[in-house]
Amino acid sequence: MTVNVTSADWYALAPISIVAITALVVLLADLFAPKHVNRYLAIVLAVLGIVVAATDCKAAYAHDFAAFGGAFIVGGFSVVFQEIILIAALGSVVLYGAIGKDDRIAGAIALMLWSACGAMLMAGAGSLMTIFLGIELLSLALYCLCGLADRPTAREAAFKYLILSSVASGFMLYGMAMLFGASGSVALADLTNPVLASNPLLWIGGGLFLVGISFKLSLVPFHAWSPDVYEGAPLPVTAFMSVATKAGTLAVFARFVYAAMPSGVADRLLLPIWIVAGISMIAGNVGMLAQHDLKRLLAYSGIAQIGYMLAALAGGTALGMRYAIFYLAAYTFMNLGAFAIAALISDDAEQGSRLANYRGLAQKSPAAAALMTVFLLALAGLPPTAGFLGKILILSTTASAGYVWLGIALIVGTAISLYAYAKIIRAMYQRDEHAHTHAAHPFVPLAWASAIVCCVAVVVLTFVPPALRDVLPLVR
Amino acid sequence: MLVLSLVLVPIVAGFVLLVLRNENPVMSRTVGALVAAFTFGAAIAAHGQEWSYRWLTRPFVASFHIGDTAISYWLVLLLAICTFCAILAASVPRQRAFVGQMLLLEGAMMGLFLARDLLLFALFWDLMLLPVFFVLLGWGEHVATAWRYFIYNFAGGLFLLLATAAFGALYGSTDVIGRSDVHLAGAWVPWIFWGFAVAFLVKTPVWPLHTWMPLTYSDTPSPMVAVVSAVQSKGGLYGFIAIGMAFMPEYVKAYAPILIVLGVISLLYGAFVAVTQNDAKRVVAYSSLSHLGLIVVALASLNATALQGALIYMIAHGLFSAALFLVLGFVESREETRSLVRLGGIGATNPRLAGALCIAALAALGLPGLAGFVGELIILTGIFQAGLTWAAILALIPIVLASAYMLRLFQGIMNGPQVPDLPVRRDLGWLEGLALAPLVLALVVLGVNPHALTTFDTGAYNAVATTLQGGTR
Amino acid sequence: MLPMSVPLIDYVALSSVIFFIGVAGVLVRRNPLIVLMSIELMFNAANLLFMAFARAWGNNAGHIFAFLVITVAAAEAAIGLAIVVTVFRTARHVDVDDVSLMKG
Repeated sequence: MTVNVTSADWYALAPISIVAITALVVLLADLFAPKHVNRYLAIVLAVLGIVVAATDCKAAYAHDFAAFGGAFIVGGFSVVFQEIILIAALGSVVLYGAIGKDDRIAGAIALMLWSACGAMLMAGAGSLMTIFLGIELLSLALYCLCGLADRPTAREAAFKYLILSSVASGFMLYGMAMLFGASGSVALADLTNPVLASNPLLWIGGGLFLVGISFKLSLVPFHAWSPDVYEGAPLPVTAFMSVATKAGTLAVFARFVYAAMPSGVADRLLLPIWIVAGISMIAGNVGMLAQHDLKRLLAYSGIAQIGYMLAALAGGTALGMRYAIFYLAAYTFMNLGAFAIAALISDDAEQGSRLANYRGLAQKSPAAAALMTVFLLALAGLPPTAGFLGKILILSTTASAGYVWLGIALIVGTAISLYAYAKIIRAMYQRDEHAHTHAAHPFVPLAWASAIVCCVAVVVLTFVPPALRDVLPLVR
Repeated sequence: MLVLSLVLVPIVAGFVLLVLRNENPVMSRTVGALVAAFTFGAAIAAHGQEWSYRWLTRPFVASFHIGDTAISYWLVLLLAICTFCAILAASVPRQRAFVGQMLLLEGAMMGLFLARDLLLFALFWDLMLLPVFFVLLGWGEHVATAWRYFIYNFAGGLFLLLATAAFGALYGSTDVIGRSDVHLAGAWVPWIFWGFAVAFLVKTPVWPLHTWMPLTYSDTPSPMVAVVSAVQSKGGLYGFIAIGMAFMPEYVKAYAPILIVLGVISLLYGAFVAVTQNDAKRVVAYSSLSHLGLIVVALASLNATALQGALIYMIAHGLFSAALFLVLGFVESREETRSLVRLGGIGATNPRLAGALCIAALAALGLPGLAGFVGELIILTGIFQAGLTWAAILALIPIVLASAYMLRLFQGIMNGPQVPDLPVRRDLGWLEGLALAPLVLALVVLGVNPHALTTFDTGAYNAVATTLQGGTR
Repeated sequence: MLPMSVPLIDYVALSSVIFFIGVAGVLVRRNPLIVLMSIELMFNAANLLFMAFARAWGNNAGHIFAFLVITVAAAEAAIGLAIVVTVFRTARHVDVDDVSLMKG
């Protein structure tokens, strides 16, 4: 097989390259910038780079193109996921305006941008090799980011994430080797060969591959890492990780489900995943009930939310794909918004992470409390937020695809989660004469802007849902 | 567009009040009352108007479709009147935020009654619960009450959501409310029916799903609870008529015995418990359980007469329960208690207050000449016509008991020897009088001339009654 | 296709044995360095499989994949060792069970 690489192939990589180069520019600028401006310089450069990349990325929408002989595929599907990842990077980078030591900001932002590159690579990955490369780029940068805080919990988070995630990568890689053995090619497209349906290598390899995916998505039997890692990692990193890892991995999973399996295999091979998704919805929401830490609570919430997104994919329908993406986009905004509020009431000690600090927030900062309420309502799936519309869309598509039990799990999970989210709302609006809420940071304009933009997005997405045509994943 | 303003104006005004900085109770009350008065006028002017904008085309068609139906028209007017009166009567700490929440509640409920799309209905359903939850958190007496309200009603809301999604998946469109050509069929319809029914029965409420209600009604500040008990509780009944009876009449018929039994238990249980309560607001709360139970029986009896009576009684109950709660609020703000054991003898010093409570209580116990009587009478006739003699006879018991608990309420507060250590305050002021006047006036007008409701728009029940006949045969 | 002196199934068997030694190492050993080595073992088991299949199919994509894995594993080892050093710098002896400030 000869692959002729033309300039078009490189253009397909342009958004990723822009983000990667931005990271270098941020590091270099930090060398020469005076000490007192380096924090904001790094943030501004990163934001600019991300905006340029997002603008450039948009062009590929509705122009499907398989670059590098199908190893990297751009089109509606990859564009939507890449934009979501870029939004996640943007929303997390600006949080460094409120949190973190001055001399580490540039390094942290550069690592975060490279990590985003990995996730963006996963969004367009059309071969096993690109998938592996993307996952490792994403994860390696995140291991470092997790440890970038002077707290023993941060180091512990980095260590746990390193070990558990590497093991998952090991499983995934071994599965990939088996898939390669089955089809004789690293291209996902070659896995659709109907001859493979009876090949044990495909079944074992696919199974191991899915174990790795479930781990990265933190589905229930493999979820134990996520609360600890989310709690330990610095706040902007948690914000980024909660969206970008999910978006990247969901893209890989969706491409595998929709476009890389011989017919007849999907129903049986994926059934365990749907079951696990249903269990995650319930277990994740139950896990939220006992938490005292916002990041930990959002980790459990994320376990449940990814279950909802997988439920949309369960039928393998075109509509399901759209709604999974819609829900992912909504989740991105509500999650980033919640983290922005947490950053608003934090300094380096991250007071915004402890739920006790939300007591009486409405008295100290009514606007922050109101915004947080919107995000929590959205996470719970109540109107007038995109979480409400997302859930109803997922419900109807899952039910019509014949997975009614997943719809019921979704409702039961949502009912449980209401209590957990309302508990925070209640604390915020409690009249507490001795409220010891940490006073809101005097001036953190970027985090405020992020929270407001997220709030607007969460509401507007409800009333003007994007059409999301041509977002089916392709392989060739 | 005017019809759209019914929803948007209160919501926008509510948000503006919430974010304003300066705390001026008179200004807040004036703005709130003006907005409510505007919605009343606009509701009359916009009768029959529709506004529609496509929301979703997949997986089912859904629209932002706003417009009143023959039935919701009256509920919208009731909502506007009750909100107007409640805002005029409001005198609470942090008035500005409170009036803001009242307006948000009005906007959300306007949306609920005007929604011609099921998905929009479900959206406003959850939305209308939030202001009450926040008021319970900010102004309520116990946090636990806010919890119970939130959990019960949102659990109901989830059932509604599930049923709406299933409805959309099955029928392909949720843009259906007010249409008479929609008919659901299939193996899933019983589940959809019960999804809707649970949400409606929780909201109404009906025994055994009522346990959130007495707490909420006694803990919420009176102006808010006047609107909640008068109008929000009608959301479930309205949904039952506009969705359950209109689209799934066979299933209403099939499950009618269950609904009738639940309704009869509610109306007996509510009346018996109301007699024993010492908290004035709880007496009214349990009396509501009893009255609304009667309406559930009327609806489930699937009889055109009973349906007509139910509609009249829904409006009448809204008027007198709002008046009762407002008067009890005035009493509470004067005497700082609402315990019937502690209160007494206020009537001597507050004759106008006594008069207002008297009219509201008499309407509640069904005195001829006031609106409550007309509704009860037509409902009972309808239930007899439907052949449910035993239910009609059982329904008579609470009507007798209503006299007992309402008179006990009146006597406990107004009559008897004056209690020396109760503060003596001035009688009903002009503003409070103005707050009660529209409710009392409407009670008398509808009591003397119920035709206003039944003949104003002859098409009022045609759609529902037709499907209903089709369903019963 | 080139003639093979060792049948493919033997490679698969060997690699799966190596893989499970790696998994067992991660699960059983408490020393973080040995845990990291076990992870390397899992990666290398996959490498062996890639090589074997590449030869069987005559597709050198497997070779390239193996090189990629070796590179990534080197980066992972570098980062891993750095993290292990920062975590256990103050500890007298190293044991993964000691890393438990946060409990799920």
